[in-house]
Amino acid sequence: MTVKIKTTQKRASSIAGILPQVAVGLLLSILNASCTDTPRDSIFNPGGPAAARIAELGWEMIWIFTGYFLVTLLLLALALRGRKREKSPIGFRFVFVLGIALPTLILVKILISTLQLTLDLGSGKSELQIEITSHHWWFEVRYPGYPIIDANEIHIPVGKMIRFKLLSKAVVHSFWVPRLTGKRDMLPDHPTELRMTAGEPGIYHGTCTEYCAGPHALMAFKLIAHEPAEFEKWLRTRAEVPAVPVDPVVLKGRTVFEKACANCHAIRGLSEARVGPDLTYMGSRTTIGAGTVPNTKGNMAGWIANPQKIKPRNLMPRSYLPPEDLHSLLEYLESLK
Amino acid sequence: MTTTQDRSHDKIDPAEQRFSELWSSPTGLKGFIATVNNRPIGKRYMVTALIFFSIAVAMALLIRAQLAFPRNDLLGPDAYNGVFTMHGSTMLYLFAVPFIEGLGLYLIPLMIGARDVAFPRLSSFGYWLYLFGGVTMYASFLFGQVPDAGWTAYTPLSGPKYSGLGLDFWLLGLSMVEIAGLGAAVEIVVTILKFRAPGMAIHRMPLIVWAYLIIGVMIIFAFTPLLLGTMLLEMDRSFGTRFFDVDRGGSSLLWQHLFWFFGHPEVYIIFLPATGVVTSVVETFSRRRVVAYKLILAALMITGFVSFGLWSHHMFTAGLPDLPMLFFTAASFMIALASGTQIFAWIATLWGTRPRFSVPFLYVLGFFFIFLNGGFTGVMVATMPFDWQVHDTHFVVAHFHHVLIGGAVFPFLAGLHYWMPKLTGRMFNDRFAKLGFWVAFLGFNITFVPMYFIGAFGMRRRVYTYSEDLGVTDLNLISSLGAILLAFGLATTLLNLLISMRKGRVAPQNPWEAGTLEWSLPSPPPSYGFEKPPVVEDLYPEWKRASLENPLHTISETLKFRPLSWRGTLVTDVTDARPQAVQYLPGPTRIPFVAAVALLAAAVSVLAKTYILALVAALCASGIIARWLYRDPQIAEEEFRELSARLKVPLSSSGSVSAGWWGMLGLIGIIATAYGGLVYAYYYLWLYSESWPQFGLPEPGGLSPVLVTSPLILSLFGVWMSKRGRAATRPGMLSFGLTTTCFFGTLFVLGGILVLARVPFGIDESAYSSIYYILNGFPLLLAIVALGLLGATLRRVLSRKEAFNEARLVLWLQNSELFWLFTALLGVLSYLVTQVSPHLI
Repeated sequence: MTVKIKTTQKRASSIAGILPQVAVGLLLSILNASCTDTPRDSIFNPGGPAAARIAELGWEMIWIFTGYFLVTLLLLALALRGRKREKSPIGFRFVFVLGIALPTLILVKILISTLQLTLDLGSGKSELQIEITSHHWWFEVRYPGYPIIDANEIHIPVGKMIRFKLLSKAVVHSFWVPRLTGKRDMLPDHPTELRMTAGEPGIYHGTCTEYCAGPHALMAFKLIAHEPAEFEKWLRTRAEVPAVPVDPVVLKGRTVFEKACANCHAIRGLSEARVGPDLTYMGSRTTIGAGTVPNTKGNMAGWIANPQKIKPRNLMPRSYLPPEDLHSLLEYLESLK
Repeated sequence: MTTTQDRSHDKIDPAEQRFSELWSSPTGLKGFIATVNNRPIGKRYMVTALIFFSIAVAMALLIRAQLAFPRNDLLGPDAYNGVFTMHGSTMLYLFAVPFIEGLGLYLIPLMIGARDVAFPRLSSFGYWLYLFGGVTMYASFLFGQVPDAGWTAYTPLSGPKYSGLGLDFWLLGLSMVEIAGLGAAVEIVVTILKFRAPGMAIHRMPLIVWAYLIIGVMIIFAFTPLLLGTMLLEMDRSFGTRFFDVDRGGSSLLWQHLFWFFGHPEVYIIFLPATGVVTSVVETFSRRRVVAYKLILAALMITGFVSFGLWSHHMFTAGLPDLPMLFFTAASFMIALASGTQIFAWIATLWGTRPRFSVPFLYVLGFFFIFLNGGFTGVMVATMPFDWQVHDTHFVVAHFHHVLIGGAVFPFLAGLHYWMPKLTGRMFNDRFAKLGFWVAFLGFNITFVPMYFIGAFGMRRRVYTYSEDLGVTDLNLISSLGAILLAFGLATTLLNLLISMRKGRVAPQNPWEAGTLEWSLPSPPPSYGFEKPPVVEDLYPEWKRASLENPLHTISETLKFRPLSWRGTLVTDVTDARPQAVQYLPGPTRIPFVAAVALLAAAVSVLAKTYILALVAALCASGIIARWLYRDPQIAEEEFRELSARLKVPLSSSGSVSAGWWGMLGLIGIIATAYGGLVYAYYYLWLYSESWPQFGLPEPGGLSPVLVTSPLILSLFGVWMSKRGRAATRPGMLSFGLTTTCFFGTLFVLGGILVLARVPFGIDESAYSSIYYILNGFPLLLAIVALGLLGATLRRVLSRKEAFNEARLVLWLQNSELFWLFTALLGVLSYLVTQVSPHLI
């Protein structure tokens, strides 16, 4: 019995022996993994002035606190490894200076930066208002003054401050574009507001950040920033009602849509239902299912046949269309550009 | 253990024998149920909490397994949502707080020189409620209806529209656990205030006892709003009220306010006792008095106080006005200062002491490293604009795991190793304990440091899947591998403790040469704890024993192995710990268990939607509790007279001397907090409504509410009469006063019910009508309880079995009158809030 215990103990201590190596190896790989290329949605890779200011504050705190962390650990090491003494050579004054006085100075400094930043982020005149309404696991987008109703893709002009008016249709959601600014909750009973400016043209990724059960993980959107002139053009073309197709297959697809989809989905000039996302310009959207999969014909076919497989628990039921109908519906949806 | 045996060989003292039997818990299943003593109950709390902890760790592994790879399909969204909800709920509600309470129930009497806690039956009741509550939450798995709204259960997601039966399991289980927590809190506070050893003035209290005193008070003010919130939400779900129904004037944010008013203090309720453990370990291993005792104490108090002004920093992104919200940033910084003070006080204490790196001390070092890290990122998330970015991302997940594991679990493990001799009478196996520590420490950092990066790179929390496009694939895999290491380390540690408990080396009385009172007892302590109340003259009584000339020794010697025919412990005064009385403590009884079963039956009936049955069960529970309270202590007359003659202090007590009076104060504190929460809800709903009453409901009012409230004022006359009757020793006047109070009280209840029955709208019409009914119904319910108390007192007075100035009768009078006055106050307040204030504003 005792022998057995001894050997296990020996084994235990040999495991303990290699632990530091394992630790160093893993820590190195963490650094390696986090330092490769800039991640797509990193808050330290700002794409607009607000996120840049916040990242600046973040870096300021990271440097100060890393310093303080190391100093504290150093003091701890000195306390433990220093010369043995009868009485503690340090006392009240040490605790007061390092635990209260110095931190107070640092925190007041951070508080002032915070106040300044909060005031700055709240000021400035917005040049465009966009209304976002969150639904069970997707976002509806409206541009006041235009008949455009879109879903999960938001188009904005570069360099202009946009004011988002946020509201939820059901539970609490949250609206976040990491590279542009912080997030804001979307409440069902009161509208909230969020301002942001995109620094350069391109695609910015956004998500719902307040847990909303079901496929909360798959509730995303894209924010597409255009040059102002291009954005004006985009607004003008999107305000138009899509033309009635001439191609017979596409035309048949339109009929299929009216029969199979129009109870829930709207297409301007065809149906007004507002249960699911508006599909007026579905063909130009880049994803299906609020950012779940790319908008390809194959994915769309899979989505229509069994949406639960691609985005579990979403509210769209599966449909049982004959292959030809499905084919023409796909053609029709693709044509909506 | 050796010490007790040795002593029993030396001399067999029949008194000690009898005394030991008096205090030991009965055996067998019936005995198990009937146990009320603080140490078995405290251990049960800790063991149960650690079992829940292990389950939650297993669920954490499932979470990390799912997130190890992008687009992993190990768990679907439903399974994942249920698992992370139960992981968080278990860790916070079923592990952290109950573990702290268990440790406190076990240790506090030993550290302050008491033989038991103030309300032994209440601790048994609390334990059973906690166990039943936890099992209720987990029973949801059997029905395939696992709660999935997160441990925060935000409305409306957790409301009747968007979530299923699982949430009912969660809410009802949680309510039971909260009641248990509140009971333990009152217990801990009163024990610390009244049961300290003679001479242990408040400035000689170990800091961990201070920490417990502070969190006891905090629990009363923090758990009550949560209990209120869970009850309101359950009413929304089961009885159709509309507090959180946004379509009918309810609010989506009201829950968040109530929840975080609990939720933030909760963190410090967990953290403060952990710092107490750290202080204990630091002072023992440095063999030195803690530096800056008063500063640490101030830090504990400030943390406790300020923690109630922080709740909105969890709601920075909710779109509330910016500048007022910055107040919460500033308040959060105060906490950082308080924590910093403690850290540097510990470093100063350790300076130049060359402590031995034993396992408890290793855990404290681990605490320093991890908690500092989590503390600094805590300041970052408290900075509002930065929080707008990282809120609800893995950055926050990393932060709070640093704070909760580094700041609480590590100190708890330090404590378990440190007090193992007292808990089990044995020592742990040092090598395995060290191995467990190092693996857990490394595992922790590998799991949670990468999460800071994962979060900053934009990965949200509570997501069951993520895309490889985020660029966090490698980091997630590393984190998951770290989680395996962490779980392995924790398993090694807990298994080692479990095995050492039975097979470890027999522990000496004071292996660490520590200075506090618990180390003056054998390991493990005998069933009665202290054979006589220890006399204390110093913060470290074991390092500096009380001088033999201290006059307090006389009373201490008189109480050696006494009282012999009932359980009793010395009561001292709140500040200086001068002996005041001897408190009777009840022995083994099954009543708390039966009461807890009745409450469980009520909860299960609500789950099954059989509301009549729930009502019956609740009535049964109240009946059982009434019987429990009414039962008289069994005190042997002969010994009572003999001891009374020898002691300079009374054997029974009333007023602020007795634990019972303080207990009543605690109960009133809880009810007042709950009522305050209701009034807050009333005005909060009003503030965010376009019209009040909402939706053009008719305003109830007229003369009848005035008529109903006036008996409350008239009843004051009765209270005045009975008070005078007692002061002037005129039993007739006393009985008349009590009867008058009861008469007007009954009038209030009957009138109140009649008026509520004739309100021109139903409770489910809008949030306004719901809060109107509850605010007016609440005092009625209290009045019924108060009438029960008054009636019982009247019966005692009329039966004339007790002497007129008998302390127990006086206490009944004081408590029932106090409770009635409080009820009358709430009745009048409800009238002012619901009838008068709408006309004023």
